Amino acid sequence: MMPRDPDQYVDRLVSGEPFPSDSAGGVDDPARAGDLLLVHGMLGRFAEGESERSARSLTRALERIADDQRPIRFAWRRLVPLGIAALVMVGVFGLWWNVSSQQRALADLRDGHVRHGMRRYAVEILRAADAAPRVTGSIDVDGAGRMVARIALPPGGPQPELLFGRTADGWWIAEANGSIGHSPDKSVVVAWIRAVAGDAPIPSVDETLARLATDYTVNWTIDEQDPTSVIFNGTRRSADRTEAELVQIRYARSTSRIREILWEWRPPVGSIAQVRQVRATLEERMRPGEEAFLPASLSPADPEAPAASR
Amino acid sequence: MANHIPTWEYVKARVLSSGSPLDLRRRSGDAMATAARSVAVRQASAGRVILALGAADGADDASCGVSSRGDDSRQPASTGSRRLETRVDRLHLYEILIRQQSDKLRAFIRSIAFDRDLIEDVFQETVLVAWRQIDTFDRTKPIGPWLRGIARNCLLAQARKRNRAIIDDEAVIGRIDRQMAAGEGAEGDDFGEKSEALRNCMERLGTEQREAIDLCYIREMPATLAADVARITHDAMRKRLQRARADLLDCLRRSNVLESPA
Repeated sequence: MMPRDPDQYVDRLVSGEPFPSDSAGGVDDPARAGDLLLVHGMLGRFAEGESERSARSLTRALERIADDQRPIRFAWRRLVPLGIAALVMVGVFGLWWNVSSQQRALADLRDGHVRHGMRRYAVEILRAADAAPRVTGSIDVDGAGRMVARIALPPGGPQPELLFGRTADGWWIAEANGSIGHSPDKSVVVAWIRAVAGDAPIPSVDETLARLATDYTVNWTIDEQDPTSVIFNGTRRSADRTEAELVQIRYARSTSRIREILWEWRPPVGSIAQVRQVRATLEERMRPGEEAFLPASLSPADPEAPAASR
Repeated sequence: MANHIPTWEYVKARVLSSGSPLDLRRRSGDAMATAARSVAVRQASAGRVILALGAADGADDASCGVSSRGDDSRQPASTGSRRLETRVDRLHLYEILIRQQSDKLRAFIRSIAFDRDLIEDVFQETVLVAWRQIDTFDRTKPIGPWLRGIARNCLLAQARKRNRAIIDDEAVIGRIDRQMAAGEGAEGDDFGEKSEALRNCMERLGTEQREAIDLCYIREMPATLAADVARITHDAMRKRLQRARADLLDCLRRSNVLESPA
């Protein structure tokens, strides 16, 4: 119970004794009580620690105001999501542009291969170090899916040359007896090569170009030696180990021709042949004739036809 | 003593005419001014400008805010020229204004709250809320009642929050507010004069009352400790304090520093 006398009422309040919050209404002289409380409040100004407390409190309040404002920082905070979005957009655009440019470059590569038509690549096959010396040959292409490969075989074998190709109807291979084996797919070639060289690779420019975008991770750079050429470097990402681990294509933009293709297997492929690398280099001045791609000309009745096409 | 009305317009005019708010700061020359200035300088060095967006931007708390603007009150200066003011300028002005009012504001808070932590927190909260709501202040009127209204609302909110008792007798609080308001808007530093008068009255107290005031108010001893120092009982010390406050009140009334009851 709070005293009704204002002096005692104030004494009770300021002494620190607990008092009920609804007990103040009973004071007899609110004016005197108010005045005495005001005297109490004014006396606090002379307290020894008041100056420091006041300064500290005001400083804290002003610091809170400063924290409350910070318009520039706030503005930047608001800009951060926009900045992130812009960076993402730039990144996405850059990625799209990069992918897009890469796809355009690959498309140019394939288009150039098709447009350029018939031509011959000199082939050099490198084998594992402890295997037989390198093998040479040629691959004729026409850019339309047809090809003829001629690979010189080591002396002493069943035949001096491996001769196989592809037409619009399928694959063919010149058997040792001079006959032509045909099949709609590559199996007839694979079987013969497996028997002779043990799963040796059958590199094909057309197939490589067709699978480059899907089976390989491709980067392309300008050839430092020849700025008119572009070098495509493909690293295989498919699980098909018969495909070369690495493919490098040097493409002349000025002539739309593939100047060189390099296939590389790691480890070497073929239990007998042990092929480590196949390099096909464009023979600039050699242009095979149409008849070179016709397996019919390789019939036993005309076994010299491919040679005549050279 | 310089005569002035501590309103926003006055302070602004004073700062602009003096070229620096430091002149006003030096007059009070206390640690608080230094602390306040250090914050302002940090603000300025941080390049935080653009006053026009200033205080009202953050006026979202309003748990203990009040508005002094009536229907006929003029709008706060939201003109183009005011928008050219800097935030630093505005904070400087506000610091000066608050510093001028802080002793009086703290005395008001001490008059109706008796917990030291509560007093400090309410003071800080009042300064912060007043800054946020400065655009709602009618600058044609004295700022003291407006600040005390904010402080009172803050006190109520904090007391409820902390379950602390404060005076909620409207008649008592109204009396304190009226006594403080007397002289506001008139000439002179009214609270400084009142404080000076109180100091004079303290010197006229009897020895025992003077000692009680010195121990309990100046040295801030609890009454029990002060009683031990004075080698009297606790109740005797409280009686001396009670007597001293009554004597001081009579002295202030006789000096017309505080209005006597009608």
